Amino acid sequence: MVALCSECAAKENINSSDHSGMHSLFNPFFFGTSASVPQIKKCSSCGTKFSEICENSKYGCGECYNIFRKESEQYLRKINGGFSHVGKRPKSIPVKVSDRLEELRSLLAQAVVTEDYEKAAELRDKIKEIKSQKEDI
Amino acid sequence: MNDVVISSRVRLARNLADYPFPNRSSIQQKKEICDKVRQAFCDNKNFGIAHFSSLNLQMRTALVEKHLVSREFAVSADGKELITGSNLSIMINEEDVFRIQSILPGFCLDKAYENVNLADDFIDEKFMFAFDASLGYLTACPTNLGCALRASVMVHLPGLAKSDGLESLVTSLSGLGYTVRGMYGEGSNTGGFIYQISNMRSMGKTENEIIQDLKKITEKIVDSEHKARKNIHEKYPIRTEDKILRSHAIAKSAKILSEKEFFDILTDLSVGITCGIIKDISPEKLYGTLNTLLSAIIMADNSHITDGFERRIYRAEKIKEIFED
Ligand SMILES: [Zn+2]
Ligand SMILES: [Zn+2]
Repeated sequence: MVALCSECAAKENINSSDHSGMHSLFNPFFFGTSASVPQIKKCSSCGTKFSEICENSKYGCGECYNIFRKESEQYLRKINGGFSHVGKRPKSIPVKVSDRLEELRSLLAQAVVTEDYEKAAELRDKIKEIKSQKEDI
Repeated sequence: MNDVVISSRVRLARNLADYPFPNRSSIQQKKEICDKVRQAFCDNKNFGIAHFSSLNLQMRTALVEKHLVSREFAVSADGKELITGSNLSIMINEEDVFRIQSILPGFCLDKAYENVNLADDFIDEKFMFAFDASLGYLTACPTNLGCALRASVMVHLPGLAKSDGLESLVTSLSGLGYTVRGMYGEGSNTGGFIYQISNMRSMGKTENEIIQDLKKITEKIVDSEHKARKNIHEKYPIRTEDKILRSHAIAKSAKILSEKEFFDILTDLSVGITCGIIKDISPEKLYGTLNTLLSAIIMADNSHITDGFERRIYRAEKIKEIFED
């Protein structure tokens, strides 16, 4: 069960009392009592502590994901199955051809594993297309 | 399809790179964001600004019933805004700064995604989104990371519910990464047998893959619902037809109609359409009444209607409009 924040859980009709996953993952390592941890790391941008993120299952700002990248890694993998984003991007962030090719290759590998040959063929075509465009430039 | 799929919805979540998420931003920052959003949208003729903070609680509740805003969003109005477009709404400062959603009647997930995608393109040109190359669009809840896209269909499943097929459906869907939520009632045992099915995650798939996967799942659900309805009819033909035809008669001639009766009519007539018993109603018109005949909506849309009795009279009058001449 994925730990949602209480609001999302209410929306999704999921019992949110099961936050144990996240707490057991991090509590003993990073927190404990504030007395035993002299300096608690905070997000430099919004002031959120990682313990608060664990408590609410909510991040405070985009920078939180960056600052707590290490701490979050295991938790985020649990939620999102270790996948990376392969969808749309903001226009201000151009897609590097190498990134796109890597994405497509990982999708292709996935399609082969799930024996979705139709999709695999589609992806192969896409990869070929991007490669040929690259050579044009 | 449209005798089972009531509506299709797609929503995107977006945050800003230079502001905290709403759970961390001050009321001042929220108001600043709202000002910028109003500025960005004011000369775009495709969108309207609702001036959310000027709406009273009753009007906001009606927006909830019409699924234009979430229940949590409607509780307070300070530091929030609502942008509306055709079949589109954008909540500002809900759980994320932007919650762009499109709802369409029937089975129209592709079109709903097209709507939100266009709105997203427009906002993308005016604002800098919080984004990370591997995590995707950054959202307050980590379950929304990736495309930050939730696609859902609202489905009417009286056949499966009455033949005990619902529990196993819910279990198998959750194994596939979908949640099922009862609408218009408590828990999964809603009087109206209306459920919303949505993807849980949006990481590791493209937007189009999420949409196409939900479409395939929905087609299967519709298929089993059709079978369940027809099974019940085959097993108990007289009782089923009697119930359907009684509801048909009530819808045509009642003078007073409670919300409970209204939901019963919705169920019976929909099953009647599937089984070929009811022929003078289109499912689109039938389900369209969910946007006009619920108590909260009647109250908000008609200021002259003040009590429950008047509401039930109004509902009985209006339900007759579903019959084709
Ligand atoms: Zn949440
Ligand atoms: Zn932060």
